[in-house]
Amino acid sequence: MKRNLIVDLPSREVNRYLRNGGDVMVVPIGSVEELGPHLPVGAKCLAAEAYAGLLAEAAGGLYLPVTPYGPAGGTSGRPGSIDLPDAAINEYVRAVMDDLYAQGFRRIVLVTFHHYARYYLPQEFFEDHGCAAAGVHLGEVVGGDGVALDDLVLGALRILGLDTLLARCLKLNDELVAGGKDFSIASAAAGLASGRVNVSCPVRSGEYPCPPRAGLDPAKGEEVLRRKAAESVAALEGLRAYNEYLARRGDRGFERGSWFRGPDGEEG
Amino acid sequence: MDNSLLEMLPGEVADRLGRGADIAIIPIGSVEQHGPGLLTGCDLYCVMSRCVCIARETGGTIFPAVPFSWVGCTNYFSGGVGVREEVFIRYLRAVIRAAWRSGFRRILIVNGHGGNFYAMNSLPRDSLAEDGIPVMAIYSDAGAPGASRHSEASSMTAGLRLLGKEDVLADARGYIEAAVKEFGDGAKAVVWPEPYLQARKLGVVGHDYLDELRHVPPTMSCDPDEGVRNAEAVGRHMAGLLEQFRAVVEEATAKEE
Repeated sequence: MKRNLIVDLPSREVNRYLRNGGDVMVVPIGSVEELGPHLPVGAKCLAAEAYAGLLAEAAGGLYLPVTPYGPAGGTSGRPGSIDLPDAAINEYVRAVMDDLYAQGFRRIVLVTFHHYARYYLPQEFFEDHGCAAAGVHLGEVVGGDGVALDDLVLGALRILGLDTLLARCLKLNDELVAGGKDFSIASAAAGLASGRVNVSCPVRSGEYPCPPRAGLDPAKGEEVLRRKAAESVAALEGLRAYNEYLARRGDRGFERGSWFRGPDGEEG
Repeated sequence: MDNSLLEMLPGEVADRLGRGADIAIIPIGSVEQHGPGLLTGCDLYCVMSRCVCIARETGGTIFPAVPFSWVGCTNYFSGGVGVREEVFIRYLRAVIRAAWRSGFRRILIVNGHGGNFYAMNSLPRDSLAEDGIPVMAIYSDAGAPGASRHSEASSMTAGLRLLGKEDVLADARGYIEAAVKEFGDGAKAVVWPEPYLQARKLGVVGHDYLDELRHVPPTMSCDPDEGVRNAEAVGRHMAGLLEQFRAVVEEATAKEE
């Protein structure tokens, strides 16, 4: 297979991949939103696309074009935020997953920044098909390595070869940092939110969830993305083994209430 | 890519809207079999060639493509990724509403997939009636004067060229040559089965394409430069139509108020 992006292959090549036992499809899901004045509004699309490409290449699998639109958080209605509700994305992506399953893909990996999609979609897909899909939250993938969202995005631009855009981002960041203005969110609702408190949080004009800062490190973002993709190949093998286990167990969808414990303690 | 929303900084989007550059160009693609020789992303690349040229002529903003739509008859083959038409339309309408909320006013849907043809007939009516948002939807060359009949291969490779994907274009040429070598230039698909032909006399009946040559027969007619010229003709044509569309939007907005 010459390439990993499905739209760059003819149907015959995809057929050959499936017939030879290939079953990996990485599904990047992005969003279009204003994260910071120095970051492209397609930041999460570009990051998801870059990681999906790395993961598919490392695993010898395929990946889809990015599903671009997602929830834009508090920046809904701002010029650069094309904000869709979770339900619209989930219905669309779930239909894509079902279509992939119908033609033989079994290791379906969602790459996204949306907790809602990455949690509910794999679980509901499993309940309906008895096949385990995976939901990867890209922020969490790199978070353990101390990579901030802006470094992750700028690293993705390096991977995608968007050097001119990267230079524009860095230049504007430097100018804004030198200007000393505070771009962080200061709305009344921001102080209410925490891990267990969710509140509608309209972001004021001129405030951003990811403000400019000194010390941006795109090289670190790129290095961690590449390393994490390479390391994830083992987990993809784990996904294959898990699906084989499910098949041996005879799962055909999630059978509600099928578990029992008998009087002698046996489970079935 | 110039004029791509994905690659704009927030201030650049605001500047565009501030100076009245209110055109949102939303490409609609598909991922499906296109014969033995063309890429599954054929429709996507065809439509991108037109979007690039429309944006050049109008200063419009190219939104990221809605990549998956209804596939239908080519589901018989591998590599197609489709969703039900109503699912696609619900997603697209959510994108349209979001574009409107962001301040874009002239919303142009550029559809490159024949399977969406009838849904695109309904979309402008539904969007205005239910959401109060006027949209314009075009298919293929939108009847642009100066756009000649040309092969899908020419249009697809024009998209690859305009997106700077020369490496994929080289691959695509190889796939086309291999298909022509295997089947012959312009080879025809096997004839439809007689029972299908009988049933079709009633009207539309469910079917698939049966033969991999049905959708797009292999042909050496592949000229990216011709495809680019056609896309440029569409761009010029749409610049005029989008100017006229401004009055439609103003009228609809005035009614809304």
